[in-house]
Amino acid sequence: MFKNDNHTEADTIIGPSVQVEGELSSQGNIHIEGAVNGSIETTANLTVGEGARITANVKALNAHIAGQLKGNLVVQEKLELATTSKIEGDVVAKILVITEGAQLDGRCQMGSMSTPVVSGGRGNKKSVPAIEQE
Amino acid sequence: MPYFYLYDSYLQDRASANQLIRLESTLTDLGIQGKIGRLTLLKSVRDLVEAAVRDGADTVVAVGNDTTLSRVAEVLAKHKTVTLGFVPLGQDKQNIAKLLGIPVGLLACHVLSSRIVEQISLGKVNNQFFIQSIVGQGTPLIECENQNRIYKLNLTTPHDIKVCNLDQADNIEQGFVNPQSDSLETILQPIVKKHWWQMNKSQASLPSFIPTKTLKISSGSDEMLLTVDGYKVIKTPVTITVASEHLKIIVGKKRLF
Repeated sequence: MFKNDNHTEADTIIGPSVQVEGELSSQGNIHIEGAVNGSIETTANLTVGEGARITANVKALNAHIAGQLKGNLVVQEKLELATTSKIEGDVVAKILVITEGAQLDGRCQMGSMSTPVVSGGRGNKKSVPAIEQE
Repeated sequence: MPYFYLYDSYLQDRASANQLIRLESTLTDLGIQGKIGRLTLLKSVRDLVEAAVRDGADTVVAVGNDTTLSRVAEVLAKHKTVTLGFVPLGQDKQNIAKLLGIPVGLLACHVLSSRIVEQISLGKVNNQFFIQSIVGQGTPLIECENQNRIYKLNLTTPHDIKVCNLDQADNIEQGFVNPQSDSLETILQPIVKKHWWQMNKSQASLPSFIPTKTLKISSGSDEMLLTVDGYKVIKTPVTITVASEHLKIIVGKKRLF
């Protein structure tokens, strides 16, 4: 069960007072409240808190993003962008949930991983209306 | 099945004498009595345990507290065939007993008698073994290696740093530290200074939990002090890894892992 509000569900927790530089990799859940520069890879779930600042390419099974992320995001199953999230980069996910107020600046690919890019156009940062596709 | 019992030096006072007599009586009743060694200023843990193993002991029982157990475990790490037992006596430094499911006091004899043996991992810091944890305080540079990938942790404020192999009950109950896993758990807790006018405000800061196999801690030009297993102090830089050696240890049914 992917519980993004429950820190104890995570195997790796990066607190707000910690900055990570390099290749952060885990086979368990990752919860980030601090800063990460480099790359993030997990075979489980990723949760990015509201205060988190990430400059990295990210790969995860499921992801819930509430903070800032610069980099490409590849999620095998479900990606949730919370109202406070700001994404600058391309997004690939099987299921994408964008909450009202979330900012997505990049290309977006949904459904099967082999399908072509759905929408494009980086550069103009704007709020995305609420879309839920499951 | 020859047993060897190692009594810590703090059990030599009169208050402990009666408890030790009752302990020996209980062990005899349970049929697990054995030779006894007493730690003194002139006899080290290493000397006593090595001599006992040479004499054929296959179970070495630390009678004392967490420090006693850690010191015996460090010596036994290289003796794969020897099993470690623990009889916690006294009130101070008794955290490991709860994790292992061993009651403090004479009831621990029944756990020894039941002989449930589990294998646990050991940590290694600069080629010295440790069983419990390494603790320090400051803002060092930490380099972690996990799954052949390296990343650095920069701490923006001073932290309490704890690298755990077998640690306090709170963490294990939360599922963070498992002594049977092949990784160490690094816990970084920011140190929050509270002024008197902030005493009523909650300033809890989220700690970081990072499982790793190898960890390098350095602190630039300043040396940082780290306490290993609560009794040994070392200076940075240090390399901390999971040891390839394992420890066979007698545990109770109520163990937390």
